[in-house]
Amino acid sequence: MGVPEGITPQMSEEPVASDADLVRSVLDGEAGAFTLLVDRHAAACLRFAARMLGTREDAEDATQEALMRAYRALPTFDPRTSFRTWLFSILVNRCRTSLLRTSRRERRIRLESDAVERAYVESQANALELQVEISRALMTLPSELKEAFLLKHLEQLEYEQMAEVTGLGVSALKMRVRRACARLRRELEELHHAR
Amino acid sequence: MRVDGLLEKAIAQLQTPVPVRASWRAALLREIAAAPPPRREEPRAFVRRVRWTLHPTVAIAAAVACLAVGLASGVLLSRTRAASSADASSSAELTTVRFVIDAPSARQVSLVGDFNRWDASANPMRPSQDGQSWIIEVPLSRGRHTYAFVVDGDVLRDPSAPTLVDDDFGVRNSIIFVGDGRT
Amino acid sequence: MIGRRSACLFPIAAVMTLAFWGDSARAQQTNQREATLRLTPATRSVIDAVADSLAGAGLPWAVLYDKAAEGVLKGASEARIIVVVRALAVRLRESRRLLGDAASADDLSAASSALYAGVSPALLRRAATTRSERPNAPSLSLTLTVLAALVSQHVPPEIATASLESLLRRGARELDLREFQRGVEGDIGGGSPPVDAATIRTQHVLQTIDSRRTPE
Repeated sequence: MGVPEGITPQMSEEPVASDADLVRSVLDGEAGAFTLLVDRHAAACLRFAARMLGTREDAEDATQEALMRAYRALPTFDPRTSFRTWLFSILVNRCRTSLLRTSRRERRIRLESDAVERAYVESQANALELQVEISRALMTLPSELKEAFLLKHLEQLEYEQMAEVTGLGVSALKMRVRRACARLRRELEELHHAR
Repeated sequence: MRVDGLLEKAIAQLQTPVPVRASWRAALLREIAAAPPPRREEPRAFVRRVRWTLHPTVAIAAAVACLAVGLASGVLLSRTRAASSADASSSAELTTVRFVIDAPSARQVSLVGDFNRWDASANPMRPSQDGQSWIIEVPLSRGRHTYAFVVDGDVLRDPSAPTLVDDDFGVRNSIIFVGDGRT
Repeated sequence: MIGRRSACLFPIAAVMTLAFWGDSARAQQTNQREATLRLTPATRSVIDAVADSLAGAGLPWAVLYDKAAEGVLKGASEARIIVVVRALAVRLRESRRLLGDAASADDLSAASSALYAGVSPALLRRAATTRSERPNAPSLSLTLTVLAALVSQHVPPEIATASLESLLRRGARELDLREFQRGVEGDIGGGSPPVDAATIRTQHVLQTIDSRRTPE
């Protein structure tokens, strides 16, 4: 049995507070409880935003905005629902806004080594090359397909959760994931053979 | 969905964690600390407790006077509204629309939709003369409306009308566009 | 016996009664909130917060209460109702972003259905732009509703959008779009591949439009 969602495994025998417990604590005046929520979820948010937006800078901005909005909107969070899903619905919205802003200026796919380093580097040369290929392939996807693909295969959300996050119907989401996988596969095969 | 080798590798690569920069984390926590703390919302109340020093008798008298004025205005307003509903078929704003559904063995059928807040008791339909179908005429404003029928407790869409794509609650609704006096 | 403190509430209650009774918009708001009275206070509070947020952004909030009432009628759990209401709010915001401030509540609802069905923001904007270029075109809400219906029947969004654009540019009326939608759905129901159904029906309706122009 895996660890329930929203719980950080601990080595000690202290009871682990759920996300809903931590939200309750924040609303009761314990500001430090939100720091625990940040530490639990920020990395996943940052990773999703980085894959979605392409640069660390944009990812950090979107994640920061999402966490601040979540903090301010905590009184509206329903403890019967998943905090992670709720947070991601805010984050997805922030990413969409960010993409709208960047689509107004010309966006080029930057593959210079410093851009890759700024994104998410830390590997041997082969893995780095694969990373560049994947970044490039991902960048060719329309944003709505990329979003669905990342929520499904990166965040591993169920379709019902994805529907909650994106506002779309389940069948529309399945169609988008299917199309994203098909396009990514084609792109990766082309890039792979072009090596 | 089957994910093949190349995609699998891609996904594994994408799952590489993105390190959280300490400086970024610190800046975020500073911003949170500076923000007003979120507080549980008070239950919404239309009447707030106010410390007024007013003799109860004076207060009640004033209240009765206000209520009398309010009631008079309300009656006038609802009469005006009722007049426009009864005259719906000739009003420029409302169009009378007839809904019909074939349900010969039904005991009770009603019309529900965004025009009656999906209230199954608001628009009960009447059986046709031959008992094969159920009918109702409803004044609707111009534009787009979603609706369904409740047939002996079951919510059903209109088989003769276009279907709305949204199926949030498992049962799709029907849709109707009310135009300039025509549907 | 009415105490001083309780009695002080009466003038306030009376003034509030007068305000609500005389203000039809407020009365409507109260009615719509009453429709969700069969929900627990916690759920109502969440829906109120989402509605307030939309209202603050100048977006139609009443549809959220309609949606909640629909969920109550259909026996959905409160958790599900909250999820659906939130998702609808997300789509309405997105629709406003795509269609602009001039879009009506009907337009936004239709756009949100199109998004729900999987029409991409770019295609939605394209369909809306094409439609706006035609004088006397069918309403935007009808156009987007037909688009959503086609996509939900697995007509690829690009094909569905291109078909509608062809019809609009040729001067299609409301009846033409409805005939088009019915025809495509009927053909798909009869076993035609969605792409074929959309392509063939587009040609049929274009011929119908052209024949109206031909002098007798």
